[in-house]
Amino acid sequence: MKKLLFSWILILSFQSYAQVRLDTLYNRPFEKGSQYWSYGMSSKYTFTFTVDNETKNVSSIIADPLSARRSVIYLDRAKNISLMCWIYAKSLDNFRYTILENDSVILAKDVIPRTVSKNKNSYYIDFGRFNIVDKTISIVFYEKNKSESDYKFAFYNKDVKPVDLLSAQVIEVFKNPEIKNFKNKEGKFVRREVTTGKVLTLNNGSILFSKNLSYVEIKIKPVENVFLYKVLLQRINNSSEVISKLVQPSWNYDSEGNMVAKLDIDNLSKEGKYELEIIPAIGFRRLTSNKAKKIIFDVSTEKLFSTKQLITSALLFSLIVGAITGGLAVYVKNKQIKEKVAEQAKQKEVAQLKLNSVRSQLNPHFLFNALAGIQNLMNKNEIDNANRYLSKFARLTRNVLDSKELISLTEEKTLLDDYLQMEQLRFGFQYKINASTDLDKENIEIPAMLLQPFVENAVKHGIAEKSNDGEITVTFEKQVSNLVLKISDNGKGFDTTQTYNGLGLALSKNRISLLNTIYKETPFILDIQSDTNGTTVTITLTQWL
Amino acid sequence: MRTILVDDERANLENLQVLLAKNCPEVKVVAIANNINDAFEKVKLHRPDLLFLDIQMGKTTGFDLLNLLPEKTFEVIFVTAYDNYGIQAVKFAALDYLLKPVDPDELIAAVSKAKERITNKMNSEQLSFLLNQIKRSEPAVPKIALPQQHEIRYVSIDDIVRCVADNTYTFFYLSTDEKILISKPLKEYADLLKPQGFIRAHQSHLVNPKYVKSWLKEDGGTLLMNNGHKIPVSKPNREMVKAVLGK
Repeated sequence: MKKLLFSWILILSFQSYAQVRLDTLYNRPFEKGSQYWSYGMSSKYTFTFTVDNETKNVSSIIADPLSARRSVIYLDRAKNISLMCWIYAKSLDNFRYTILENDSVILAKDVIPRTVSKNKNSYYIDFGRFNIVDKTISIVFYEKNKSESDYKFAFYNKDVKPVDLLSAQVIEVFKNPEIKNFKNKEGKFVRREVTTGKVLTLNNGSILFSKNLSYVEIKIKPVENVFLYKVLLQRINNSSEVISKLVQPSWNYDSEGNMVAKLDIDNLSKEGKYELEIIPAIGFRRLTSNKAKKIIFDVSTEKLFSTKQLITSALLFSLIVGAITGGLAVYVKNKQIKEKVAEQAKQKEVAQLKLNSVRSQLNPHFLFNALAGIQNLMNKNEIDNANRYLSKFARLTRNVLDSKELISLTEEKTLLDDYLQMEQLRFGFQYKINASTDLDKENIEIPAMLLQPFVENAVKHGIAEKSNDGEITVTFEKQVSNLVLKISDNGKGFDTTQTYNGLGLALSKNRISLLNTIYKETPFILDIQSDTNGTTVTITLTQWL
Repeated sequence: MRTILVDDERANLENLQVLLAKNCPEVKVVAIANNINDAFEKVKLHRPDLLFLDIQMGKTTGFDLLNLLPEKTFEVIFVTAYDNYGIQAVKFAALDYLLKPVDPDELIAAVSKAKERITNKMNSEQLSFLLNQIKRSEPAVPKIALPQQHEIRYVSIDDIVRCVADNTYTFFYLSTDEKILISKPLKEYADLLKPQGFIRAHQSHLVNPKYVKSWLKEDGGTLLMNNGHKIPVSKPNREMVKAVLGK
């Protein structure tokens, strides 16, 4: 393929792009030749790549708000990419790299860089050419003997979709968050964050701006390319002028697995009608013309009285009333704050307890039906099978009674196997449990009983009716440092936005948000996709490996 | 293999007899007993090769029976209904056990292991070790049996610096600078040693905090051991490790 020429050298220090900075979208150059890009990643690497001449746009380096050691480059309709790099080091012996497609397919694993040419203390490496149509290609560099990856560099070349705002809230903090270690009842240490404040929801409402407000919190559903999403804030003032502002938020996961970001409250300091929208953009350029759901609200500011008299009388009045109520209000507020702090501390403490109780719920319906299944085997004189199923049943109940906090992937696999075989006895479906070979199943641990309720749901709502045509697949997968657990069935699906009375799903969601209050640094993300062809539940344990 | 079954519940004895008859033809049940006095007499009389021994029998335990027998010329497979303190001691001694209701596949595996050990005459030492551990009212520093191919090492827990997983194997690093390879997964030793204060710093590392010198901030969190070795701490475990070491 013909390549076009473009020569661009952009050397950035490591610090400068690790911080939030405004990114830029470079237009496709119209000169003929090869389109060559070079980015200094750190004192160790200068990264270069060429893309084909179909490529419309290339972005500058975008820092990933979720990972300080990952940077992204957005490509627009590229077809092929060739990756090269200068490594500044005395030797390459300790360097390794891995190339991933869509963070899941391994194109190259733990490869020792191959030198093309060499200067005094630097090596030129050619990683090869890759098809990148609708894909993300990532390259991970690391040094041997270091368990964590040294640097990840991703090329994002997919269609970008708009994303709906779930909520926007104004937070008034009375007391700043404090992080403390507490000892719980079992004598273990738990980290807790205690914030005291008030929340005002913005959705189609109105607020009165005051200096006491702390910040605006916006929430969206998790997206893989969150680094592309900015906040567009538009204000229509009294003279019907539109004042727009684009803010690059610092996204993060919240305890429910959604993504949240904080905006400075000063963005709402002026009176008017506001529209809040999340748009994928680089620099000031929207990456899609499709529109997503906005949140609209009014902001008013405190009014001054027009006449002097009014002010004087109001002042006098407020002085008298203020003196009386002030004391009272301070007392009440202090008491409220104390109560709230105590309440929140208590809430976190019960989180661990709740977690224990949620974990230990194996559906009684299942328990007794499983026993009936064994009874049936006995009555049919299938003694050997009865023995085997009885042991499986015992293993499952023992696991619930043991209430271990963590179990290994191997153990989880055995338990799911036991469980599914018991259910198979009742409904006769097909199932597979796959664990990818790059997982150390014997030694990687996950919270006990994490998948069981979802597998139970897959049996109950997914394929119980389909009997032999039903199929359940459970997979354990490694995606860079994330552990991805997936349960899919080919049942009739359900509406994920609907809240069901079914205990399983509610309990599990509850459990995952409880786990997130304990494993703050490595949030669990729950994603449920369901249509008439089936349901897929994905639990991502971020940074778990 | 001449075998005696000991359990205080008749149904359990019958179950075991049926399962052994069906799955383990090499086992010949020469006697059954439902209390330790009866069992004591029958063991003396029949001199069996193998004993299936229930741990909890009313107020007495299977260990009491073993204490009554000065010469332990037989192999023991412990049988228990629930994973309690007794089974913990059995695990520390690296002896074999079955959980009730007995799984036919696990029974077959345990019997074939016992057969191998009878030919190698490995057992009496391990049984004495087990009884010693239990006798001590408050074991100052418990020991653990590490079965290697041709010998069993009895190591004081204080002398274990750390354990490293290698797939289904575990390397033990001792304070004597020895490195022993044991063919059991790290998970099993983590379950045994965590209650003794050991820290699972990483999916592949179990560490005795006694030998930790300091917490290094490099790579997000690393433990520096007294001998200079560095142990990675994985992200989900960091808060826990810091909290334990901070005490």
